[in-house]
Amino acid sequence: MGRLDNKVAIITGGASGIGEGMVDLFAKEGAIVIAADINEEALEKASQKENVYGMKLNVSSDEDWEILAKVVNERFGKIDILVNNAGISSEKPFEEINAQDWQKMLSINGFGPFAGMKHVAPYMAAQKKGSIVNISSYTALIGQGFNHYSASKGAVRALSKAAATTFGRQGVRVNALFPGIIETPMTQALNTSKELLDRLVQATPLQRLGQAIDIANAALFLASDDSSYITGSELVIDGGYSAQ
Amino acid sequence: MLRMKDKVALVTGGASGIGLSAAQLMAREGAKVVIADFNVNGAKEAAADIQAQGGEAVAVFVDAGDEFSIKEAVEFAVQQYGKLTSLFNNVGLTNLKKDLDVVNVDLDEWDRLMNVNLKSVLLGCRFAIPHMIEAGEGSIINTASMAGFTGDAVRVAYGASKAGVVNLTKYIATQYGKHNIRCNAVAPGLILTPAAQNNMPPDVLDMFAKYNALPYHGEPNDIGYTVVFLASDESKFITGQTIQVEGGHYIANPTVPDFEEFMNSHNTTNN
Repeated sequence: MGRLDNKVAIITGGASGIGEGMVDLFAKEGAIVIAADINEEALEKASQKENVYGMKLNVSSDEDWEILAKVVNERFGKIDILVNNAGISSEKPFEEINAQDWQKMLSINGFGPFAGMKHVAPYMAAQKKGSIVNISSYTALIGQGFNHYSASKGAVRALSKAAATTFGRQGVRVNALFPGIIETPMTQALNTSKELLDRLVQATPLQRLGQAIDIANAALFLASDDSSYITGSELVIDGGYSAQ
Repeated sequence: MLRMKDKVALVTGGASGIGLSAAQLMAREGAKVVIADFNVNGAKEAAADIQAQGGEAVAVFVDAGDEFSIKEAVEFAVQQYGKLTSLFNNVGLTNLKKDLDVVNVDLDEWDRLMNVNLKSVLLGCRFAIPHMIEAGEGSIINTASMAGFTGDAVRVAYGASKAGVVNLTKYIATQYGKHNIRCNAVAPGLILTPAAQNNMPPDVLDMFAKYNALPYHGEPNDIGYTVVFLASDESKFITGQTIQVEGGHYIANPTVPDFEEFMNSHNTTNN
């Protein structure tokens, strides 16, 4: 018996990286998974998996979200789980960040999860039950690079608390995950300096980097009924880096 | 697939309530469980129940106020099953009669609660960590409380002891992470344990429900499942954290439900 049997889950950014790991795990645990992604090529690959349906989504588009939620609800009869995982990153130093950079970052990382909750939560409320998992970042908690990325993840943190309060009475739970440095294609492309990564590992109590499965497992816990009484909670997955 | 296969867990305060739930769920996930409790008969019954359901569990006496007794319980667990990988420091006391406000709290009671709620966590870890280092892995889970984050009209010793648990958790995580030992805490809000159900009048329970974000109360298994997650390798990159399991009771300004009520009644009048 799977931990997500009979659940319908939408995972954004589900065609690659951390999101792809979540899609695989959720499907393995018995859910019908909608892998929503902007990358159409990767979506085709995702759609070949059992119980996985790739659907195109630009998370910063209000209209895209409205259509996706409606289509999923019509096709599968309900929506139980939403994981707002899609996001972009940047290591641009703060003095080089311009208005366009800021708007793009906040549009994808901030407005994306907001619009997702706005359009999906009503379907969850209709059945008096649902679980939303938002992916923030440890950079929303401690000063680790002063840039628009951490600001966008701070927005996700605040939104999650507010949404948990707003939707709680309707049985919809909202929690946030705060990954530390996770080994993915995205972080590997960004962190070109191996020396810097080594130093971060040294400064991490568990003396290692995180893996995509660590985030997927935490998302699974918060998506499943095992966490029925958890809402507005913050789960940091960083090997203890920010606890010291 | 079993989530705690090959784990040996010691659960203090495991004869009832939250500890019992965690012991049962860990056993169901394949762990060998040592149930330690002051109520050793209750612990034996709990272990027998787990055995009857095909799980593996034994009982041992522990007095969480006594250093030697805690050491004995840890050593018993290792002797029984050959190693120790998981420790749930769950035992705790509260006292609504003597643990009052700052001016009136009974000082002997303050010492007793600090001893049982906070020092017992330090001692459980002190005796378990060498065995976990030997095992090459360890996951320690401590029962904190939302009372460790907020102020209240009474129970100052309880709240201070639980705040201590939250930070002790970070120290253990920081100091022993390099040995692959993780340490996290769970902070319950109101949980409908048998003790809570016996001691709280329905009116008080309704009051709590009103100020929850979620429209229901928590049950021991809500904490038990969280403990299983933290004890299993699914949380292998999580350490130093306190997971709040409290129905959203503490996430909003407490006037939110009252304000909603006011707005609703206002709208009704207008209509």
